[in-house]
Amino acid sequence: MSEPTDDSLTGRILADLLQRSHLMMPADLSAHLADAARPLGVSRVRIYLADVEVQHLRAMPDSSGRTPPPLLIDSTLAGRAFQSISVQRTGSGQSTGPAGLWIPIVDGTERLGVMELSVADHDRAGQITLEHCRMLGTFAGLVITSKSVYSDSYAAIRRSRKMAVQAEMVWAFMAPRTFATERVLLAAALEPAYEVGGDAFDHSLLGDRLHVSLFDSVGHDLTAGLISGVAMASCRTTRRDGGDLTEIAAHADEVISEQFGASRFATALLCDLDTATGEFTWLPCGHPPPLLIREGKVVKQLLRPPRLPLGLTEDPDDIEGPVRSYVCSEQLQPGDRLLLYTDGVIEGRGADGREFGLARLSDFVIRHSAEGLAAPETLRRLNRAIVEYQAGALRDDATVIMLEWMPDDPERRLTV
Amino acid sequence: MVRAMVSALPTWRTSRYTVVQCPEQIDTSNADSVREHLLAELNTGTKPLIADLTGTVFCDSSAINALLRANTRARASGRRLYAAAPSEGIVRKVFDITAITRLIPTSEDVGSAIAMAVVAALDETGDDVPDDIPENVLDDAP
Repeated sequence: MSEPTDDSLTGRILADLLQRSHLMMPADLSAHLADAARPLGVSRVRIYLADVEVQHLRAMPDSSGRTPPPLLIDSTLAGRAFQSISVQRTGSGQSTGPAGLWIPIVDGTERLGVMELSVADHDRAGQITLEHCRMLGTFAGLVITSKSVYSDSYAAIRRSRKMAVQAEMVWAFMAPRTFATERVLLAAALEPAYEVGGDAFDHSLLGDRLHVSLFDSVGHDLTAGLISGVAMASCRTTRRDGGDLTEIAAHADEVISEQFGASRFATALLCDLDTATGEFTWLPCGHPPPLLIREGKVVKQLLRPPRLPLGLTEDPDDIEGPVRSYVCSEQLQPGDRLLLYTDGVIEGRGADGREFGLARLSDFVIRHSAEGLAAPETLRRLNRAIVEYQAGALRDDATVIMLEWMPDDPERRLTV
Repeated sequence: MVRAMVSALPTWRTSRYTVVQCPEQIDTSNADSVREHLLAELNTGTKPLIADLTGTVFCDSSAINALLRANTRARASGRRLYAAAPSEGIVRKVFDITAITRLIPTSEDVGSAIAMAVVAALDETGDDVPDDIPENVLDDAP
């Protein structure tokens, strides 16, 4: 009998995995992958997931119950596979003996972790193609995402410590930290990962329109988390009912002031990007203005007259001047990047008492983007820089969202 | 976190208004005590309250929160809260970004804030505004 061609082998393994996926227990993913990939010479598969703070890759326990120690994303081969979203091979300097591969696990464009393939025979490892790796990494990403809905198996591995109640709630509410289509890319970073409460973000694509919103309610205690949660939920319900930015804000005002009284509020940027035309419209609700980066330079802060933060209703008698719309608009050029951030990013103080500041924020993003780093990895490193600047103890939540409009450049390093 | 408590903020009470001088920096470490001080003033007096932020070189959203809480309390008791913050400073920048000048009338300096507060109070009572009021008021200013 002749060896099957590569195509048919990939197809057979994938068909086998898809069939297994229905009844697969979340914790048994690596065992099933190893079993199905045996025709490739694979002897063992180990799954590592990035922790919530995206600093370490943490291993899922295998059938023996043993768990290898976490791997630092910044300084390991596994971490390099994760950072650069590329397959890394171990033992490639030798010609015989066992070998291994590190394969990034990605769901859509969201990096979840890496998979270690152990191959007993060095020659067999050399025959494992990029296509095989893509197939295994993509399958793992889909399974982890779909099964996370009804299992704590993955959520528990991703934590290095216990999470505050408000953080548990806000994370459950938020959209993924990375999202991309052929025209637009969004990456978000948020700290302190285990105590966040006041900051939150949301995004959603409807047709050509990408809606992005960023919220900041004062503090990061449970009340702050509740206000942000209610703000997010009320915005979604209006948006899904076809409401525009002004209507979204008006409904949020009502709900927040009813629930939390007249002086609690959340600042927000409610934004729509038309991904076909590049028209960016936004409603500044008492929030720091977006920053526009074009051709590696900060072009401007999009500072416009803001409306009040969400939850603060105006007494019409007290308002000076006519009632007006606060919706703003800016035409983007292909390749433009927008940075949306909360004040906790720029107001964080270093050891010398100086603020992190807008210049440091934009310099960091521009420098790392110029080095060819993908947006999610740039923001992961920015997150580290923000935390380290404040010596690990953030006084306020800090969130950054990078939005890139690239209608002419579908080539991105966001998949394997 | 150790919180730097502001036990008492310098406060000037006159027959027409009260001025509270806010700290040099207001952030999460002391915003609660600033709020408490403003609320305590609102609980005892009956006159317009002026938050003097002319000596404040840094404030973040927790300061805005404190002022808004005080403003809500003031409104509930039929009083008004005013602020003084120079237009070139960081405080005014934060005020402008958060749009709270739409809720809390804000002047360039304490004298103008007092004048604004006293004139508005007279408007409300229906009394004529005496010609000399702004000047007298300025004499009283801290």
